[in-house]
Amino acid sequence: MNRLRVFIELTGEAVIALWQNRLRSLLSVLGIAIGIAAVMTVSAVSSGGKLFVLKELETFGLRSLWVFRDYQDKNPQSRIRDSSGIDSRDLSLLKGACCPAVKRLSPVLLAANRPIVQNGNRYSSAQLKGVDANYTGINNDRLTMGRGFRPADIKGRRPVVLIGETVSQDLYPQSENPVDRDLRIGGRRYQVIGVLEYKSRDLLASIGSEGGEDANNRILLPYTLVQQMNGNQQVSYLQAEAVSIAKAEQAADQLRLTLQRRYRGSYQYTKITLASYLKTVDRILGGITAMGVVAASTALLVGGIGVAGIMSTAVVERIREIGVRMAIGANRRHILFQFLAEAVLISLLGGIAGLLFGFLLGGSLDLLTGFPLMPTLSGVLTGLIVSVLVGLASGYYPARRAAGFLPVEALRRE
Amino acid sequence: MIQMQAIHKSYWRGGAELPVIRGIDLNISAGEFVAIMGPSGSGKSTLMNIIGCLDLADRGEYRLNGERVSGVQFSRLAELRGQTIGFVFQSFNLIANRSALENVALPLLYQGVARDERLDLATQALQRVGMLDRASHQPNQLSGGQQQRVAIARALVNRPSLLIADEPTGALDSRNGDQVLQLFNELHNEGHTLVMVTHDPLIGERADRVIMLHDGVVI
Repeated sequence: MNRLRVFIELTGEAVIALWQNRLRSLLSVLGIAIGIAAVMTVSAVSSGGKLFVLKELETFGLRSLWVFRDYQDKNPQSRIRDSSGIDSRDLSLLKGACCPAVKRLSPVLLAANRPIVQNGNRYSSAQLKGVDANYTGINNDRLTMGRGFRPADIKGRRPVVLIGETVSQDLYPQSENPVDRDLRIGGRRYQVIGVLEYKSRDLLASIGSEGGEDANNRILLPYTLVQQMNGNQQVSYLQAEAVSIAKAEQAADQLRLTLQRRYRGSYQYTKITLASYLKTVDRILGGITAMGVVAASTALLVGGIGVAGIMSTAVVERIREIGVRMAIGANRRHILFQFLAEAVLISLLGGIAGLLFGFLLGGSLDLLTGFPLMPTLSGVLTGLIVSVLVGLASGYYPARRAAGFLPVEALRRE
Repeated sequence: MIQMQAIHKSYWRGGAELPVIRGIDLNISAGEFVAIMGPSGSGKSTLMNIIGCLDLADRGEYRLNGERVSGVQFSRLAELRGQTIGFVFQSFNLIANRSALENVALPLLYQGVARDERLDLATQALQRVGMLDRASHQPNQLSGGQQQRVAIARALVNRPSLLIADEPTGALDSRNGDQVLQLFNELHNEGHTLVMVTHDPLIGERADRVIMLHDGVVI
C-alpha cells in the first residue's frame, strides 16, 4: 500500500514539474496533439467514407446480384442474336431447387421503346421497368406512401404503377397525393398505387457508377404488362437477392450456370454482384487509409521525438535535483517512474487535445463538405492508448538515463 | 554505529587508477560528533559519500548499525539513505520552486508517508530549526543561512540515526555559519550522531573527535 502511494505521489511530482515548465510542456503537448489529430482524422475519414459509400450501395440492396446474357459472347453458334436469352418460362425453373443460395428473384424488363408518360399536360421522362412483386424488397426500395405490388397485380396484368420521387414531382402538383391517381403511358391508363422513397446516389453518379439509371426517375410496373407492350415473353435480365452477402457470388453462379445448361450452345451468361463492389470499395478505402495512416504516423513520430528531446533536456537540467532526490531516499525506480510519468502525461494530454482537435476538424469538414466523419469509440480508445505508448517510448530513454546516474555523480554536477 | 575496516576507493581517470581512499579503519559510536578534516584532495568527501551510502567502497567492510553495507543492492542503499541518514550539503540543494515546507516533506514521500502526516512532520522539523515562519517561502526568497536551516530540517524529518554534513557552513558568512553550527551543537546535545566534513579548524574544535585525512589515509 505504501509503495503504491509513493508512485501515486510521484505522479503528482511529475504534474508539478510539468506545470513549472508549462510553456515547454504545452509545446510538446501540441506536437503529440497534432499527430493524434492526424491519425484520428484519417481513421474518421476512412470509416466515414466507407459509411458514405455503403449508404449509397445499400440503395441497390447489399445482397443484390444481376444475371444477364453475355452479349460479348463470340460463339458463332449463338442463334438468336437479338434475344435477351431469358424468358418467362425460365423463371419457375430458376425459382426452384437449382439455386439454394438465392433468397428471392425478380425478372426485370426494360421497355423496348420509350412511350410518352403524361398526366394531362404534365410529362415525365421516367425510365420504365417491368418487375414482379419481389423486386422492391430485393432492390431495397421503400414506399413513402401507398402500397407495393402484390402477386395478383403481376399475374392479372393489372395496370398499376409505382413511381419515383422525380416522377411524382413532374406529374402531380405538390399539394396532391399521387396515390390512386392516374397517369398515361403510351396513351394507356395506369393507376399509381405507391411512391418510392427518395434514393441518394450522388457519389456514385459523380463517378458514373450509378448503374445508368436515375433511381428517382423510375416507374415500376408489372413485368407482364411490359411483355405485352414489347410483344414477347423475353426478360431483359434477372435481379436476385442472395441469402447472405457472403453467398452472393455463389447465388449468381447458380442462376448463371442453370441458364447456361438450359441454353447450352445458344447463349453465354454473365453476372454482377454488389458484394464484389463492396470488396472493391474496401480495397480502395483500405489503400487510402493505409497511406493516410503512414502520413499521420509520421506526424505522431515527430511529436514523440519532440517529447524525447524535451525530456532529455529536462534530465540534463535537473541532474542535481535527481542527485538530491536520491540522497534523501529515492531509488532508481522512483526516478525512472517520475520522468516516465512526465513523458506519459505530456503525451496523454496531447492525445486528449488531439482527439478534441480531431473532433473539431471532423465536425467542420462535415459541415463544409457534407462528408460524414465518424469518430468511433475504438478510434478514441486507440488514440489514447497510442498516445500513452508514444509517451512510454519517447520517455523511456531519458528516464533510464536519469535513473542511471550514481548519486555522487549527480550531486557533483552543476 | 559505524564500523569501517580497510576501506579502499579509487577513481579511474584517463585509464589510470587514482586511489582516493587507501585503507581506512574507522569506528563512530552513536551520539558522537565527529569532524572529518584534511586538505582538499585528501579523500574526505569520498569518505563521507561512502559513510552516507551515496557511494560504495571498492574494498573493505563497512557496517552501519550492524548491517553490512558493502555489496548491498542499489535499492537497499536508497532505503538506508532514506531511513537512517540525513544529509546537509554545502550548497543547501533545496529544490527550486518548492516551498520550504514541501522541500522538508519530500524525503517522507519516498517512505510512503501520507500527505497529511508528511506536512505535520515537516512542520515539526521546520519548527525545530526555527524556520516555521518561512514555511511557505521558496528557496530563492530565503537567505543562505535560512536555506541551510531548511535543509537541516529536511535532513531531520525522517528522524535519521546519523546526520552527515558536508561543509555546511562553507557557503555562509560567519554570522549565519555560527547560527548553523549552534544548531548542529544543539542537535548533538539532543543525542544525534553527527559526522561533519570541514576544513575549518574552529569547527573541528567543537567536535568530540577530529579525524584527520591525508592522501586517503587517517593520520
